[in-house]
Amino acid sequence: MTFLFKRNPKNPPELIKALNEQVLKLDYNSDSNKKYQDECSRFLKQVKVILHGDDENEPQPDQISQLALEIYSTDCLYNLMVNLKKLDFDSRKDVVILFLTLLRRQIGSKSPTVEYILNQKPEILGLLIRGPESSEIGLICGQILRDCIKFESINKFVLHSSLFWNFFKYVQISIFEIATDAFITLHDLLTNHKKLVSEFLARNYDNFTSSINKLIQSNNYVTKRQSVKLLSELVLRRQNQAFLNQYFDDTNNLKLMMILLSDKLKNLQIEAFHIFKFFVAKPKKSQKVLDVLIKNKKNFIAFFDTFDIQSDSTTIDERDYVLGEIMKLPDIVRSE
Amino acid sequence: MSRVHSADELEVCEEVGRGGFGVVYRGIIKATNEEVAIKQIDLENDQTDLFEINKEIQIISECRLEQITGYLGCFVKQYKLWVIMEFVNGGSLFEMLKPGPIHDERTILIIVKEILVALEYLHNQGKIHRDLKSQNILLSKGGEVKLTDFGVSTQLSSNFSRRNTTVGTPYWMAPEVILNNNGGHSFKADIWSLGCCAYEIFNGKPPLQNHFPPMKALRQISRCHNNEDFVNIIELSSMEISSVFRDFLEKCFIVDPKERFSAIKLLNHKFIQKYDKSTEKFKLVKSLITKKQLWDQENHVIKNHNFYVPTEMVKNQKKWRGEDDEENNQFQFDISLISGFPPSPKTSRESSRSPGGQEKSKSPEKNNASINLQSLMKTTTKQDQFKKTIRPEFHRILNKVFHKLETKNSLTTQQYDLLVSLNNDLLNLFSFTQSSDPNEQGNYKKILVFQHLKYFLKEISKSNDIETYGPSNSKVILQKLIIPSNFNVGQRQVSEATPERGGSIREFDEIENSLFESWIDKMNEKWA
Repeated sequence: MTFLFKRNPKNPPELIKALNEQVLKLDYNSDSNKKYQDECSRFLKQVKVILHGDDENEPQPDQISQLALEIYSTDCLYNLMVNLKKLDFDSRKDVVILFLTLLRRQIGSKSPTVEYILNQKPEILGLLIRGPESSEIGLICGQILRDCIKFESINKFVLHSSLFWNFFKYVQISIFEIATDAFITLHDLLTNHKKLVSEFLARNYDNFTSSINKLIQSNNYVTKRQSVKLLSELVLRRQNQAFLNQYFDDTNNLKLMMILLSDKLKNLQIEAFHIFKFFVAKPKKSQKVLDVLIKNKKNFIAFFDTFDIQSDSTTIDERDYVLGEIMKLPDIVRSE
Repeated sequence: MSRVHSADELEVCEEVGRGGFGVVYRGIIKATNEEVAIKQIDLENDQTDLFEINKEIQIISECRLEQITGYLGCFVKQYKLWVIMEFVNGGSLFEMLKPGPIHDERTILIIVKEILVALEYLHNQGKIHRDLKSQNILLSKGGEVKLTDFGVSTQLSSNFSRRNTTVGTPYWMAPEVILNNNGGHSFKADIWSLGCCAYEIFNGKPPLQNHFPPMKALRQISRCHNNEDFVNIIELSSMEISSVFRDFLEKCFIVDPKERFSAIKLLNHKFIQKYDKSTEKFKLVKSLITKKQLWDQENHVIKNHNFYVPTEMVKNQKKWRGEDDEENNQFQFDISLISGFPPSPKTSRESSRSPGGQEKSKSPEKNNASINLQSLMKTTTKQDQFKKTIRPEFHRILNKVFHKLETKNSLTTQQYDLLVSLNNDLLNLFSFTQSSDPNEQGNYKKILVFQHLKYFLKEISKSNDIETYGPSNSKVILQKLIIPSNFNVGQRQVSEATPERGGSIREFDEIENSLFESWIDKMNEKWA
């Protein structure tokens, strides 16, 4: 009940000022760090009440707009992001609520927070992208970033940042939830805005393919499976045509899928099949791809004869189609 | 407790439960001797969705509260995900109710209060538990009460949005969840479920369970439009409880979620405020556990001890049984034509021409596997393996059958004793037979009790004589009495073998898709 005895900020601007003050004082090495943390936590809770109300009070629009203006003009979000790790465990989650509420706020057709971030403090995005580097705040940053990239302009900014490629490292971090969280963000970055991504993939074919292929070759089951799944999702998109044409002409990719098809684990096999089928179904195949398919004709026929797909009738139809296409391929004629 | 990073840090002990996602074992951190719960999730299982699992882990990793089971880390081992949680050693509230309902209102309020504290914490962060019931409330021998199992819980990214999916367990479900109206799931659904738990503690069963099967109960709940409706069906007024407790339940069972009390408001309710001596808190919960232990002893409930068997062993056994099949399924493609990959196979033309040419990057793995196999073969014979792996499982199933019989029927002492001895006999018949057939392969011997059961099932399920004898045939009657109507051997996944938790949710989903939706439509039409 400490707050009963302390002076409380009277209005939203004062509250944000007080919050900023305490956030900037946070310091691991200081003896009074705990005191600053508690103060931050207290102010953040009050911010939350202004934004969402509580049992007795409904949120007041004019209070919210005062609060937002003060937050932009004092770079409060930036301050919070820089010092996120120094806040206590539960306060960090209040930062998420504050950030996301502001992010969703619209005035007419404008999203003031999105504009603020992109025009005034894009450094915030850099901090968010690099979140997985810290096990303490990785999940918090992931949560915020995923909400940010729902806005196409921010998604574009992230894709065009050199930091984007860090995600291929982050998804291999040994802490499971951090790695998976980074994967979800990577997935969202590449699937939220179709047109944006199709341009991106077309321009970055080499870089992207080698990055995702490395993940597919990972020893970690989860990394392997998630990356194949992401790839098959991208491959299903007609918008990604330019990328697909290159991808399915590349025998390296074909080889990778053949290795996965021969994997012992059923789910990996099936995921691989959903990419492999496009190599076979593509109308104009590159000569190299055709060569590999022809040379393995017998193997494929034997393989698909026994390829076990449980009760999923579309996949069975697809398998039969693939098998039929392979049968139509010419046999190898021995040249001796 | 610090974070657990790998399986090497743990000793895995007996199975303690099964959830929708997988098996839970008790474990011990080798370095510190602390007990932990290990939840193993089979990622190759078709039912599991990595994104869903991740959501659950995110939610539990974000909770640090005395009243919520703590998260200690997770990691992938082969194709299984191990989630390490705090181990709560007393058992679930559901177990505590087996000896009978609890009428002491102080005990009820202590449990309810602790859960309210947990809910207040969750709701404040925009999280909804969505499957609150007695099975998900755990008690420790030290007297603590903890909320667990966030399998279907959800995170609202904004306090304004709501989840639109129907999850939960029928008897504990709020009307708005069933009807999916008022925007579907909100925090207040947890409060309704809490009310059901409080009712359950006092009555031994959640509301309506004694009178209605799950689907009928859902219908009853969804028909409640006024606050009195539900209170009347569950006959709240005839319960012999204090007026504050009755009032508390009424506040939980307010039909309109907006009007229903929030966790913070209920924490200030007179019922919760009535007794608040923290010393008593531990004592009362502890005495519940002692009562259950005594009851277990009196009723000869034997704690199951299923010791953990690493999957590799079970898999190897499968290999021994059907090695030829394995070979056929293993397939190698010729990828020698493709260059530019580091683990490139032989590039000479000879090898590339032979169909099914060995692919180099795969073969070392295979060798390793066969070495493992051989070393295992040396140290343990197949019979020992069976005793270690199959017998405990068989024992577990027998125990389960026994408990089911016992809970569904009121057995006489004689029946009870006969069943106990029958189970023991079956277990004692777990012995290897000498095969009379000299051609039988090597040391592959059969187990007597399983042969017995197999022959029995074969005999009973022979269907060809139905036509000859007509439906009044005594064998048909026997069949009907013995063979479950939905019997299809081999189709069911292991995780589905225990329908209590995961099963009931899935079952409901199916029904929801067919019967239930059309019924709701009809109802909506009526009101429109």
